[in-house]
Amino acid sequence: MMLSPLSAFEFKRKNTFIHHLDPRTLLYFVILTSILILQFQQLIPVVIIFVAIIPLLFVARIIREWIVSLKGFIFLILIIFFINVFFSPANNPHPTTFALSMIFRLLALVTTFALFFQTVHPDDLGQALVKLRMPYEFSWAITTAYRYVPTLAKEAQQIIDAQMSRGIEFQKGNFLKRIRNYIPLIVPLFISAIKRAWKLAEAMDSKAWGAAKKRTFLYELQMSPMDYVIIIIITIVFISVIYVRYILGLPAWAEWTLPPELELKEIGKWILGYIVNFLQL
Amino acid sequence: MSITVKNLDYTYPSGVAALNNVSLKINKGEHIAIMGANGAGKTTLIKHFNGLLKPTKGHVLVNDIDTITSSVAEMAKIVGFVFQNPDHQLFLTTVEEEIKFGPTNFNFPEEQIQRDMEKVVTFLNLKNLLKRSPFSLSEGERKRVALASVLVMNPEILILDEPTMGQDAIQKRNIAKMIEELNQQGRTIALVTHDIEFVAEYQPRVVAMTEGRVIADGMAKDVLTNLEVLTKTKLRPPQITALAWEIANQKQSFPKDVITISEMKTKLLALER
Repeated sequence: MMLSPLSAFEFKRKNTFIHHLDPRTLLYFVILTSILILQFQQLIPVVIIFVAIIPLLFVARIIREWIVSLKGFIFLILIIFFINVFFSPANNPHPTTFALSMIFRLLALVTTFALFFQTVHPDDLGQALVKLRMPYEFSWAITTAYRYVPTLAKEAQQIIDAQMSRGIEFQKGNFLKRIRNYIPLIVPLFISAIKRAWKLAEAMDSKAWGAAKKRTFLYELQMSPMDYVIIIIITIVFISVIYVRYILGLPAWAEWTLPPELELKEIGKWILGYIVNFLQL
Repeated sequence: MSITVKNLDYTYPSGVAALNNVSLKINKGEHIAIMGANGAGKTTLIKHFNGLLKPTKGHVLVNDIDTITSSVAEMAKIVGFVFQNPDHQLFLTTVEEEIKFGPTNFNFPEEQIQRDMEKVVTFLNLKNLLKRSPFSLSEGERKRVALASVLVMNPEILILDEPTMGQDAIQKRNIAKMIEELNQQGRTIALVTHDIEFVAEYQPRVVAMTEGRVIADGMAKDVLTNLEVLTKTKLRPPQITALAWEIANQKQSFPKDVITISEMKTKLLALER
């Protein structure tokens, strides 16, 4: 068993155009893109946004990591699909289309955040937040939490290995049993996280953390002309999309839904069964 | 109970090739130490012995069972795996529950569990700790509890990852004694270690690895005194061997393959005459 979803958010140093952008530019991109994604519930626009983000993964050369991490979201995707198809309110005539658009919405959001976290170094993020007037204590807490994600993921993997070697089967049994299966993972993980926090606090104290009120940085972040160009492009795209969405109104093709004969819950059941079979869950 | 590794390749999902055409046979009742620099693939190799990792290419057979075809849980009954950090295993409220967890999970009969637990508890000297919480114990005690929780399932093969890491001299001696006893009971033992003095003292068969390959496989006496192997695995010779080399520098006839104190003593006394 591998913990792939977390690898989506792990920084790796690479020499690409996107990696060289200022973190503030990328933060601006993440925020505006997320807002855009949340403006749509129709399948077609969500898919268009999703597809539009993918070339950026190629530019940042993280497509491989992204595909690996997507496998980890399959379970969540199945839950979203299942709940939306079978438990949608009666007044929703297109539950399957809706379910698909919710899935693509999740994928688009995950991809946007993955792009950000894989290309922004945690320290740069911290400095960017300070530059954006966030108190250093808070930005430190955020970057530290973010910096420890891979550490905890690695530790969780070690615990999973150790517990599987004792004969624990995490993916066995019904839904409730599966949740209970995770106790042997969660307990050691929490205990070691708490121990780690104590050690970190001691290390910080011994380095006189917080002794100086005004903090300086070794490398100062600097916005380049390219950053401004990108920010302008993002802004223009954002405003245009919002304009189309709320003032012009969406064209008819954007409201496309699956034909009614495909909307049957039976089809949903069939797809679900197929996926479950395919993955041998 | 033997382990056969045939032309094993393993590449992590991240693309890192960790093992490259490793072939190895560990016979029943053997005691073997796998040594090598950090990142040589030692841990990756032993994780194949109970199916935690499945070969990218090649096969790992444990008693003729191909690990590809069986689950880690099934393998756990044959292969016991003790990890370096006991805190990664312990999660219950008392030592007793912790030890009983594995066999209970496998639905072993109650009386058998009780009997096996008592045996293990006596063996590892945990009797007074049964009602304690594992988290209130010392590092050495926790390590023993983790070992007990694996041994209680009576595995015929025992895999130990860095068993002496962070242990003081007395604990190391206890661990060595215990490994020796388990080995004498007929169990196959494979351990990964950086502790060359430990290996020199107890002299298991030694497998040396570098960059995902086995570069030497043989008696401790031969492998640990081979300068080329030591350089490639970034190991220092045992202190006794280093001393033997120093002496041999001045006195050509002095043997270079000495690894134990008693051997050194005999050779030195022989010099006097």
